[in-house]
Amino acid sequence: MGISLSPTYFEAAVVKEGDKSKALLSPPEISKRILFPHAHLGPALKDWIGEFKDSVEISKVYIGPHDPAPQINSFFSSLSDQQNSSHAAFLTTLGFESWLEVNHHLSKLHTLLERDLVFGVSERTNARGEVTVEPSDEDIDFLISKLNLNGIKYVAIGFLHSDLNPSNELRLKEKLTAQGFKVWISSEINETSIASQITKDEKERFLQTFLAAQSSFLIQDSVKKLEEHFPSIEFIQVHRPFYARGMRILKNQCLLYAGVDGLYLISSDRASSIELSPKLWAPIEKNFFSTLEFSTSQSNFDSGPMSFGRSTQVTPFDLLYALKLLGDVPGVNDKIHERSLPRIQDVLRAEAKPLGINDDELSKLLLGQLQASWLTELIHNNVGNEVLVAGPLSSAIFKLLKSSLSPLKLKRVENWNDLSSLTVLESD
Amino acid sequence: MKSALDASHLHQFFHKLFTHLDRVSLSAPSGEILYSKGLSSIDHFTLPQAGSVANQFFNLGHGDLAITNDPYSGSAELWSPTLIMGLQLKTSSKASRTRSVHQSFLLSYRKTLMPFVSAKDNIDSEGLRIPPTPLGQISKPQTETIDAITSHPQAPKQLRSAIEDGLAELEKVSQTLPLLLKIWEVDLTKGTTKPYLKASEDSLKELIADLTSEEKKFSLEIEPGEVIRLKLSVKNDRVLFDFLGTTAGSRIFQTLPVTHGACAEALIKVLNAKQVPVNSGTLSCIEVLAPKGCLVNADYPKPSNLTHLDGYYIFCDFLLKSLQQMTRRVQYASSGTSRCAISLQFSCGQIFYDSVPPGSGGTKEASGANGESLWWKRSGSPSIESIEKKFPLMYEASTLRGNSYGSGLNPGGLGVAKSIRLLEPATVYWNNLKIEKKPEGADGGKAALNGEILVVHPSGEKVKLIDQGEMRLEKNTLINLLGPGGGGFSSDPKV
Repeated sequence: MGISLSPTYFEAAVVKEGDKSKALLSPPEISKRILFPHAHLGPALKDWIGEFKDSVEISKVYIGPHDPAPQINSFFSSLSDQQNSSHAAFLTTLGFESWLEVNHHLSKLHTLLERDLVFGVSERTNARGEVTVEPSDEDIDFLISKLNLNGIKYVAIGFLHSDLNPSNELRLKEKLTAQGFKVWISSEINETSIASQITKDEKERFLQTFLAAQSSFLIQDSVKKLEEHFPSIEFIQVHRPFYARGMRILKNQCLLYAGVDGLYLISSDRASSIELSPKLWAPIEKNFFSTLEFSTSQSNFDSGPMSFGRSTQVTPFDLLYALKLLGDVPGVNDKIHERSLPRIQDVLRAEAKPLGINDDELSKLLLGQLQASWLTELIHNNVGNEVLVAGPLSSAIFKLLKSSLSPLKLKRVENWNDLSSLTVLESD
Repeated sequence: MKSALDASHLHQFFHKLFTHLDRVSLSAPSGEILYSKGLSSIDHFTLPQAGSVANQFFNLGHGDLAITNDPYSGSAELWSPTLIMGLQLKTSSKASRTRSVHQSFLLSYRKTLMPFVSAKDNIDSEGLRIPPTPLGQISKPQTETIDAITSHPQAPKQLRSAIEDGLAELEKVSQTLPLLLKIWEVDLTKGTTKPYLKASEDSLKELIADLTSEEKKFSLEIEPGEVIRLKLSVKNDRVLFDFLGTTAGSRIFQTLPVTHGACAEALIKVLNAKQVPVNSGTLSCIEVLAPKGCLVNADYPKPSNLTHLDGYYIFCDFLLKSLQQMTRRVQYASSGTSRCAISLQFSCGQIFYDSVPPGSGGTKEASGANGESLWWKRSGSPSIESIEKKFPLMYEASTLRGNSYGSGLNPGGLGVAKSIRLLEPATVYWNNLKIEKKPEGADGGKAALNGEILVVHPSGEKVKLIDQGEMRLEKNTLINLLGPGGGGFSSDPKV
């Protein structure tokens, strides 16, 4: 089983072991999927598994974040706010303590990276892979005392040129692990992550290592609760989006995964997926011309769609729902609040009035912008000959993109819930 | 309201059309700017201006190409070549049901290469200057011309690949543009673009109406005898930047399109306007008067290197501080203005460049950003591992410079500091302004630290690199680039 954590929902899928290579085009014999609010993860999962427990035995559960850009994942932020203890720490080559922050705008996301929990280690490997400075035992002991003082248990280590020679990272990992710390090192991140391609330089490597430690730290409570509910199942934390892993995407094909919280473009030649903009949960906002558009800001906090009883601003997801384009999406329709439709319509009416149009006209205008924006991104990203549209919202997104002047050959993957888009079995 | 809705739609179209390009403009041969976007306000006017100048020489038809990097022919930095392509689109207005006509446009696209820091007394000594030069057709670029340009002894090493990449991008735009026009259901006839430019102008004018109409005067002495004088006034919702009385430059030589762009950007910042489209509509709200030959309207063959390193930051900061006196909408403390840029030339011929981003000033609403300039969009630092694999040097630190910020209720951002150890002898080149004044705080906030370049010789002797020059350095020399911070805003009650 794979469980994908997204801001509002857990998304879980079960695939039969051994069907790892047939994921997309040949549905495995047994596969199931469910979406439910993360507040009730344990009991809901138990009920769901109960439905098929006579025919399927769950042996392993892989659990990790859904968002391909977890550094701006509001789910992490919300979990982070709930945690009373400290964050994960990041240990790096002395003199480069701010390297992550400077390169990834993490200073704006202080809920993820605490500057006080980044420690420099006196060590160095040169560009030929030769260790020029080894971390001393005294330094390591001092470091351990600092970590203990801060109540840290989850640690990421990123040393320069560890891809050429990991010995300094391995030495520190060994010492820290012996002291009971959970440790991730950047030289192993490509092996432990479910990434389709290897990260090339230290900027991406350090970020992924830190996020691995941080996401594991943040979901530890959820995992603990799950372990209590399912004592016989092994839970394995993963830290990369894995919804497309194992899907068979041909060279001239792209996969557009229409998830509940975003549209992700995935191809075999890219290291990571691209989320189409505007995001599915982007709020509408006033622009320079005092008219309306969906926000394209990357750093906006997405509080979620109005349909789920969140926020007060209409999102693309709400628009699809209000225009009855969403269709029948198992696991989603029953989560939509009954009273949300009139509320969405009220907001659209109020926003349309100053523009001198009615709510229907505003809805069509916004829908047209979405359609054109998403198609433009697909065209810019050289999606090849064929775009496979899969995922829970594939019906709505397929209709929307197909009905225009699209030059793209779109193909909808039918019965998305029969597909093991979480083909975590392949990681073995 | 329909005009605003249509204008908004067209702006979204332009924004999406060029979302993957960072320095690009679309203009009409008449000079009308439909869209311009860049890494800084330097690009606002210089991109379409480079297109206009090239078109004056070569009358660019559909698919015709030209190249220039000459600041005195409308371009910007010498190290950033601008490629220009003529476009002819078959357009017909749905609204008026007119017959389709062919309409001409100019697409300008700028590639950013690694600067070479130098202190020369004329532009032709600074590097290869490419006046507007035809490059053939997009379907068949003139390889002989490209060979001739890229094999010039002053040409940067990456120039050929930059041109090839740029041409590929232009070809892609020309191929997808007709399709995207259909998808977005827009046309680029006068009947569409004119109301768009008018709506842009009207929206900015609404914001300008908040500025005081009182005329105000400001001045800034950059170096002894090098003075910018500015008279600001608002008439008919247009802002007049009058630089009468500004002296000729002694080290700063800024072209008029660069000055114009900086004025526009500072105004946008002070009005706190979001997503302002840069086009002839919004830019018509700004009038710039600058006597020919003064330092903000320089003439060929004045050198341009320092202007595009530190001079431009200082000018923008001055404009922002001046404009703040016209409104209470947004208040900024000063941002760091020095990049502490150096070039290193190794004996094997390899040339390396590095600089450090400054911290930005605190504002009434928020703290300043760390290692982030207000005036230049950051594209991320290059990977240290990649640099060390390529050049004979080793970084000993690349980190935020502690205490470089100005304190305050909303403190300024930290500058970045880098320490680079030479593993082989090299010559270092630098070109800085002698700015004594630190990045100032505002409303009681404290000033930040200035930028500094320090060389520590293997003997332990420390030398501060000031002004301009070049110096031979031995193996094991340490170079410290210490980026300036941003000033703090408002006094901190805890202090």
